[in-house]
Amino acid sequence: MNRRSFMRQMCLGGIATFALPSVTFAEVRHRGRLVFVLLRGGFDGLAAVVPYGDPTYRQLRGGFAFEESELVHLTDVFGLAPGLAPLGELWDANELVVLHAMAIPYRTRSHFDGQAILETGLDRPVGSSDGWLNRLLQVMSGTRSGIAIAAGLPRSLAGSFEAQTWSPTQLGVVDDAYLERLAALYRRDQALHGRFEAAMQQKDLVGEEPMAGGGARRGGMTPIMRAAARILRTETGPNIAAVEFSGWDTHAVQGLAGGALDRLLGQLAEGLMAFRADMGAAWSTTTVVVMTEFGRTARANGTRGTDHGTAGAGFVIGPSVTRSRVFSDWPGLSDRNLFENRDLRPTLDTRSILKAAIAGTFDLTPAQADRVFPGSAGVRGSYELMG
Amino acid sequence: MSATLIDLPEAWSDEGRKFRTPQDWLVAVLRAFQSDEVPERVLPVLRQLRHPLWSPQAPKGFSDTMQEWADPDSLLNRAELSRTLAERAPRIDPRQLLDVVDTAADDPLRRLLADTSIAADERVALALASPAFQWR
Repeated sequence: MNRRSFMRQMCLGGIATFALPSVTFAEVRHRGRLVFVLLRGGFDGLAAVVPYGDPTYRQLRGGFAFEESELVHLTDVFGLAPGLAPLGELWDANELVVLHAMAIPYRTRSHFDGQAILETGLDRPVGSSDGWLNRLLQVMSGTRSGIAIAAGLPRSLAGSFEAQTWSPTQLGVVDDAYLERLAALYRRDQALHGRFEAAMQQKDLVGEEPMAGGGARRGGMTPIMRAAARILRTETGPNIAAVEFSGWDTHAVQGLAGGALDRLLGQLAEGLMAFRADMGAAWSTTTVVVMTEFGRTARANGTRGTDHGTAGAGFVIGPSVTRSRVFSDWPGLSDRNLFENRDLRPTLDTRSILKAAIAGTFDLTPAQADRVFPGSAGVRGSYELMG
Repeated sequence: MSATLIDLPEAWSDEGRKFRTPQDWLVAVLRAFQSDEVPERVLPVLRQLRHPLWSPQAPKGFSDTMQEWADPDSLLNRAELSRTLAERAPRIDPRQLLDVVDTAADDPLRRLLADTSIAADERVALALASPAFQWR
């Protein structure tokens, strides 16, 4: 191949363009780690990142508003709910970007459609059934892998790039001799042996499950996050992890400080901080993104809860963020500023944040980030968040 | 024609095999135990295997692909569950299970099932969790 034909192939987007980098870097393993934490059910952004400085906040939420003194003040406008207080340490360490008035690019108040859009990375609930994390694995080059810290593969990781799964044991401890005999049997099954090996490896990495016993293995986010850290922190650990927690659909008795939602937020914060501590040296190249399918209604409902809404809050956490900040084009909470006179108005597209997070974590170009979210070329990544 | 289909080598090749969904697998376990009825305690087991009876996620329904059900965590889940099921199972001779597990002549499972140095219930569990038993 002479120079001309090489250039010609490059211009035509021929095989050479893609083959060269993957050949050159085939043995390079990405050091970056991205953890996508999906809070299923739609958590109330206004009760997690409280706009106490918005002139309408108190009037809008009435007896359902936090006292300013209960909050962890971030700016003159925003404070974290008491449960999220542990995240203050991240804020001080310049590792916390707080997102607000953020929403998926499609207006729906359905959990099913909302989660589908957040997980496929598309702008409508139909189209590809592949997840954006799987597309990300396809776009990245070099040796890389992904894992779901969940029972079964969530949609965000579904697709042609084979990903692993891990979830806490639900039964008693199984003895090693039995598992070794089984592993020997699985080695003869071409379709299954890689999967069984992966399961055994993850089991070894996690070891005795954190807080195992006492029937508490399924409860709480901290044991799950700590197990995730044990799997992710190894040199050859997965680069991408999908973690999910449910229970955020607070239609009734949502509570204030110390209430139902605040306790969940407390678990989340504790889990995130335990994850950061357990990652050790690997934390320096790790980014955690926390998102939900939609925010909730700006006003409380008749059962002391909130209903499905539109824009909400989220977080990008890690040493790769430029600095701690609240990143929001705040629309305000007055009646005329609310979306359909009921929800926080969306001013930030989830994909803009996700593009920045993946580009910053894995050194992707904006063009590569665009490929992870089909049809999103018009949505500029918020690349200034990552530095 | 049915006889011809049964005699077709393609009908017996690996390409034609299908990974058992959790419900398929559990039914196969009950048949291996020669159960006459379905005990009620299979309901929580099906939930645990993400295949709750008559309760698929709307509107998508249950998948029947290997991609959906044969992820690493699920395989390990079946291995652990097999152990529990075998402990509670009616006493059966593990070697009988060769009648219901489709094994090649050189499959080491045959040797394991006859190995009396391994406890009988563990041998039953090995059969239920074996890769051969995950396919139909």
